[in-house]
Amino acid sequence: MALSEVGLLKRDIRLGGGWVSLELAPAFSQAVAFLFPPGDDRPGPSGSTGPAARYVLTATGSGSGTALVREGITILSVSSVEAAAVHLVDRISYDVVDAVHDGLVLHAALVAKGGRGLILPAASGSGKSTLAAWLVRRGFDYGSDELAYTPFDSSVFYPFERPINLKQQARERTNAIFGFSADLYRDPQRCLPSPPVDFIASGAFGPGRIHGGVNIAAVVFPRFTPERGFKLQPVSKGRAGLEWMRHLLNARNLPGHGFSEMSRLARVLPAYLLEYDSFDQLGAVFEELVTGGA
Amino acid sequence: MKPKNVSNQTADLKLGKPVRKPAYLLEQMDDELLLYNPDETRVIQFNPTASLIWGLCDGTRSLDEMIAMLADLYPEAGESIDADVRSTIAEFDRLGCIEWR
Repeated sequence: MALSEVGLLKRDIRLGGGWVSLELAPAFSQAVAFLFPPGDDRPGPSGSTGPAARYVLTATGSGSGTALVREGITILSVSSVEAAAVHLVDRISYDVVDAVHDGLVLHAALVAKGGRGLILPAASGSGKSTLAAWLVRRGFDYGSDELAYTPFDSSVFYPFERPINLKQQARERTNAIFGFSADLYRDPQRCLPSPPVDFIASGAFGPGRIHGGVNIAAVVFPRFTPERGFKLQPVSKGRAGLEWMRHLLNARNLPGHGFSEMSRLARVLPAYLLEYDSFDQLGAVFEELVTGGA
Repeated sequence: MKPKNVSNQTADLKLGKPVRKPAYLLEQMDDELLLYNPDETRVIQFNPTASLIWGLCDGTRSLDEMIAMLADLYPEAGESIDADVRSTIAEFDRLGCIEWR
């Protein structure tokens, strides 16, 4: 983290060739390092242009609050860095994704085991983050609960790593699944509560992390569907292509909206639709998928 | 023998010959077909039979001619071909991916 002229620390936050710059007051360095683990600072491809946006996270004029400034305009002024965190992550993620022109960005969780990855594309609210956390608890390496990137002509995916984002209103369920207590939410090393969500460090679920990119063994389109039971179903390449396109976030930046690239991935990666209403139903399903045994 | 979400209603057949609109990007996925219209940012998935019928929509054949051709190629399909072709073409029409000559 470099120091800028006016005493602010500086971070570049990247995904593929897209990046934003973030300047921050030193008091916020711990929170920012928690929200954007430094592993995200890997260099973009040669020829990448300037940042998609310049952000400043600083104390408000009165000194009692936190302000987020984008391109010189204050877009948020709240009481604390915790209150700002959810907006900071959302805004920066949006700008980074919007600046990726050199590959595909999927709305998907990414985990791995034994160096082989699973992509879990799903809409918001479908239980993707909880599923990713559950897999990390089972010994999978954590990549992302939200965004994954692959360059053109590749089957290697890179995570946009951030803490696992779980809804505060679901704390009771989270605690029941993972054996957490109220202590977790007061531990700044493991949790940054930012209503309406909790950002929980992946290390609270398990030690493994994906470093760099990972080859993908399979793609699973998960859907948590209460009282619908368990179903894991291989899907045709055509259906997979349809599903892939639904979760492509930067289509407008890509030649042909990324259709041919998504179709290529649908041809080469085995794909499954998963419905479940309890983690108890999943057993070793994902371990079998990642080893090609399903 | 239907594209995704096709209804069973019989086509309100138009006189003329259906032809594929050129706006679509196509990807062959084994024996299925994916169509993408960049203007509408919409993906359509065709099953193998719908893909076959789509391939016949080149503006040179009426529906009756398509049905006769497929009946010759797939005699085992029997009378279902007529209804399947008409409902599939009706769905293409509803999706806006063909026009008529």
